[in-house]
Amino acid sequence: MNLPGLELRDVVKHFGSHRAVDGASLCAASGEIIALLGPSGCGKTTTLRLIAGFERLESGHIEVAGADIVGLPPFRRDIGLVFQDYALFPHMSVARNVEYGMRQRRLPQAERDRRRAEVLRLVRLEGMEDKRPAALSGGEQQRVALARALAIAPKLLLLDEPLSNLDAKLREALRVELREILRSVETTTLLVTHDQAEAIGIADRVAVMNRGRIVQIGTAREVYEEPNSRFVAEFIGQSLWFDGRFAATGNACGRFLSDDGIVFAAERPMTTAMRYGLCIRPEHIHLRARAGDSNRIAATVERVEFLGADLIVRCRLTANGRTIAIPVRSDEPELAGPGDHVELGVAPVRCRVVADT
Amino acid sequence: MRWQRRWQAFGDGAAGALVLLLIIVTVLFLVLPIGVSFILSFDDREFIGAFPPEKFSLRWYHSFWQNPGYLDGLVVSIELAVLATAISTVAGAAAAFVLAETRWRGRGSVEMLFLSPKFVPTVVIGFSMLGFASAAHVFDAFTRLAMGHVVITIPFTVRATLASLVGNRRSLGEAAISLGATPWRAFLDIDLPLARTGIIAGALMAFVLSFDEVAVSIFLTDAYTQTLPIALVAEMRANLNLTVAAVSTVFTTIAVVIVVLLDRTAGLDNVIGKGMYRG
Repeated sequence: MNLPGLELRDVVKHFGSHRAVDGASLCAASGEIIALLGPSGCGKTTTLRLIAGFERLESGHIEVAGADIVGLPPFRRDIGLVFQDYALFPHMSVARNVEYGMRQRRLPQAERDRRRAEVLRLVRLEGMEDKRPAALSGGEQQRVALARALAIAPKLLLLDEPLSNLDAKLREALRVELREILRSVETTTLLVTHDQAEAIGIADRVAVMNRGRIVQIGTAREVYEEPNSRFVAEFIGQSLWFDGRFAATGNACGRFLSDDGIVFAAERPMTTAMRYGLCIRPEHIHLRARAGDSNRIAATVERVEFLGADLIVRCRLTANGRTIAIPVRSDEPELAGPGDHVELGVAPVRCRVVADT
Repeated sequence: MRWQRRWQAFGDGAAGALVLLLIIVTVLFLVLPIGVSFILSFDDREFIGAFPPEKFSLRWYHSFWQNPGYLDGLVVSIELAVLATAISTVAGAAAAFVLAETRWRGRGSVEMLFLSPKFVPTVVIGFSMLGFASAAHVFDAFTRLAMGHVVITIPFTVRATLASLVGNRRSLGEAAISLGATPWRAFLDIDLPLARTGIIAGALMAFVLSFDEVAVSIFLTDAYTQTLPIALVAEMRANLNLTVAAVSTVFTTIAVVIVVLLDRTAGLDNVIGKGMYRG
């Protein structure tokens, strides 16, 4: 049986009376890339520091490659860490930076040279050995930091907001590159980020964190299409969310009554709860109802924004006054203009119902 | 149009000339007195006569060499400066590391405390240290002097080290630790080298400060243990002659030698101005 690459069980950490990490649990397969995604202050960086050993764990378990590491000091954990600011040693050359971990392990010079060349080739920085970090671009510094972390052949790689210090264009390019590098090294990786594009673009699975807990974990698609809470629905992508309950009927297809008075046909989940939430993604909302869109929501068009390939039609719902931005292909015929009253159409299968817990 | 431009060019030129003049006057003002005392120290005349001297000799150096008060003073001053600098540099750098890398209640007050001797008149420090030393039953003048000199030099070593630690990110040390270095190893490999220029600059300032210190030392010396500046002041009062000029020249030479040595070993640019992230 394959041991999990990283396992967190009920990890808890307080700062004063603030519960920074409040019983987080997570299991990553060996070689898997997991993104820990959440808003700032959700405890994701603290979780990373707990795994690295820079914060003391209060209760719970952390296992890396099947071994409990909680008792080990940070310098014996064999975890590669790429810091948000890269933390390259400014007084050492690229080569010395990359070799630092291997020197601590007292590897012979020949072995160090071989491994250094290997990781620098991996991050495509051959020939940069003698440069100082200050002479490198942001993207190059980031790759040196990655090479330095990989040089110790870590059992686990931790990345703290790896792309946040780069400008938007470079970020895009490096995201693809980072993903390829991480794929090829087959090291279990935990990536901490608040940027969903970064999480989705690099990771195999996304763990969404909120208030010190991991609230949902799955592939990007699963998390997007089947959010299990209002927080996930609204944090990952856009969504229209209604709180409400199901009418007591015996029909197979339930009737969901939103608190603001809209009735939806939607499939009732196999749970018994008093309250439910209903989530609709904007791309499933049609300005002009199509066949099968048996759910209707009255709204007024406020603005139409032209974005090139797409138009964004902003509508205000009559029932609760909330606005929703609906994407429309710009080559579709003009459907509505500002001030028009429209009946938005949504198919019942596109209404994702979540039990309110 | 053309006239206006010419006037502007003239104005720029005049301002430039004025600045240059100011720099020249300042440099002369700093250098000339030392130059005069340097030349006077080689004066062959018995008395302090008109400048410049007509004949030169080494008689005042000879007189300096013959005067045990000066020689003992020189030895004491060097010993004292070396000891005070060593203690002050180690203690000051250690304090600066703790102040820079930790956050705790009262940290600001402690930092202020370390820097406070800078703001207290040295005469007050001298007198207080004398009182403290006798209360603590320290009657050895050299020990007393060392205590006083550590107190007056420590603000400089703390300040210089702190300045070099600004912008030193905590993540650097943590990166080293995550790569397998023990905290002590990480300190030696990362924090210490990055603070090196600040520590050296602090040590240099401490040495020079201790070496020519008068106000504190006046309280702490006794009849048997005198520093060179104290001996100089006493001698000037008792019988003024050009030995003082010779001693001044020796003094200046020692200071210059220290600066040159520092430039050779650490690079003066590094110590004084250059940011650690450059080059």
